[in-house]
Amino acid sequence: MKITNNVILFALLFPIVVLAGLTGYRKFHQSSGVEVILPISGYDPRDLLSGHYLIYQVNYGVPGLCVSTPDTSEAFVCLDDKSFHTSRPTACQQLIQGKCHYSRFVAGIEKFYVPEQQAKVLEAKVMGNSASIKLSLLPNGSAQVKDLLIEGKSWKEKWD
Amino acid sequence: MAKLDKNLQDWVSLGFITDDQAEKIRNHEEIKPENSWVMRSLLGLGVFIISMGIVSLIAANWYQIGDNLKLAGNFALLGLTAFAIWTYRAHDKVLYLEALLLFFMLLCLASIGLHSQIFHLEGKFYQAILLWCLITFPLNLLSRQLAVPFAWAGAFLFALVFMVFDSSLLEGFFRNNSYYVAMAIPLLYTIFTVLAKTFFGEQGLTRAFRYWSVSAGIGAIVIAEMPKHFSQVTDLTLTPFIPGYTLALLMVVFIVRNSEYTRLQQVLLLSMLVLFVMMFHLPLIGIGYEVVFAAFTISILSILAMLLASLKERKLFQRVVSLVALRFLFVYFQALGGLATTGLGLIVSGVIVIAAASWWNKNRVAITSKIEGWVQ
Repeated sequence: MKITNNVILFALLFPIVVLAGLTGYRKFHQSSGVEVILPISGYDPRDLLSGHYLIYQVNYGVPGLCVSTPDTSEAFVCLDDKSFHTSRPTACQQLIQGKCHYSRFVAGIEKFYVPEQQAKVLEAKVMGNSASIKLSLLPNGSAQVKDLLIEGKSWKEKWD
Repeated sequence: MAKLDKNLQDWVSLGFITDDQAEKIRNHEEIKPENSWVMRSLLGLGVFIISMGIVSLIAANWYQIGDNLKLAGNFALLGLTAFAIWTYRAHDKVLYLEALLLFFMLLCLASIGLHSQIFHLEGKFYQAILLWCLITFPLNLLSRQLAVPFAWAGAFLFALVFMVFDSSLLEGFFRNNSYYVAMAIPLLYTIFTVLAKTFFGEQGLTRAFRYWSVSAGIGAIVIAEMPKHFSQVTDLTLTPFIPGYTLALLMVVFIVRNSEYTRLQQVLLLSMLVLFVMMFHLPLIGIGYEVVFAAFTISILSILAMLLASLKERKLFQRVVSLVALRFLFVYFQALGGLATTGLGLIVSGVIVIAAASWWNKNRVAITSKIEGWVQ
């Protein structure tokens, strides 16, 4: 196969363009979504830290979430009326799409990266039930973590 | 160069070449671009260390630096490296271009990590590797050596295997059993080798896929031989083998339609394929004897050796023959059982290994030539 300058340019620009596209989408998600704040708590009260991130469960305030739903099925939480659905609800302003996994609702927002030095202190704060996460929700149910809040304030502000 | 000097002296003293020719060869070797394995290894090590440094800096997650600044720095580094590759694209120093390509690829992986960190994304490591494989695939075409395609094809194999075990769809199909996966993966990689050769010719990526297909095939044979499967006879069914059957049929079509192979090479390839697929079905028909599995392994490797001999791949042929010898040695251990672990058994084994290695070392060229003659 003949490697022309156009092929070389494509090979070099393709990864940069894809990565820039992914970054652009995430930035768009962060800036254009509806902001909501939900309290979080640890799965395992002894150890929330896994490497450089905190793993937690989100308290949606919805009773019976995923209790009798089989694994890997599509599931939805509507925060407007705190309801759980196994199919997409028609009229919901604050929708989170996820799936049921081992009787838990997971939406890909159960992880927060933290700096090494601050990790242990933040872990203690989350275990002390004073933590929540700020999310950005798109109308299609896609949720993205924006910030970790300790006693209602960004963890960075609390730290500084 | 010391080895070359010694060889040149030998060749001159034996009358193969004249002093003038020896001098010309020496001059040629001195001025041509550095391409030794030491240089390649050092450059590779340097690139790896720098990349790990960048990954560590990212992993440290410095909260004092804003996310936008981190992203801007990341894209600036990507752009600068891409520009350096563009500048070096026609340069004689092939190794530097290769090192830059490798660095750029590792930087892409670090960028995916940074992206996950800044946006707090969930995802498995193999998913990041798959994304990385997708975006860096075209870079393989720029590589003029083997390091980049070998790294890429190896990473892709790793991600594929993990995806099979993790994906809810494939996990259900293969029933999370390595036995079924082991049959399908080498066949899939062989198909990739054929496709790479069709589209890109005999270059780095094709060779990398071929290397990993053979490695995965040998790994698959080891998995097929694992004794734990002998007790799973009743658990095995045919349905999870369907992807493997489909790939095997595709391979049959490729082998039969490929005009580059002689009739004998086609027969050898098809025999190897049939034995490979049959081997995975032995437990299904109630055969669990170690010696039968050993016979299959030795037959497959022997056919592979013959095929390599017919393709004049002398080094690979000799390596595969070593594997056949190694498997024979295991047969000896399996046959002797407890005795082999005794002092006497180990002494006998050691003597056999030394004798076989000496015999092979003395006769390998003659044997290789003889087998090459047989399979023409």
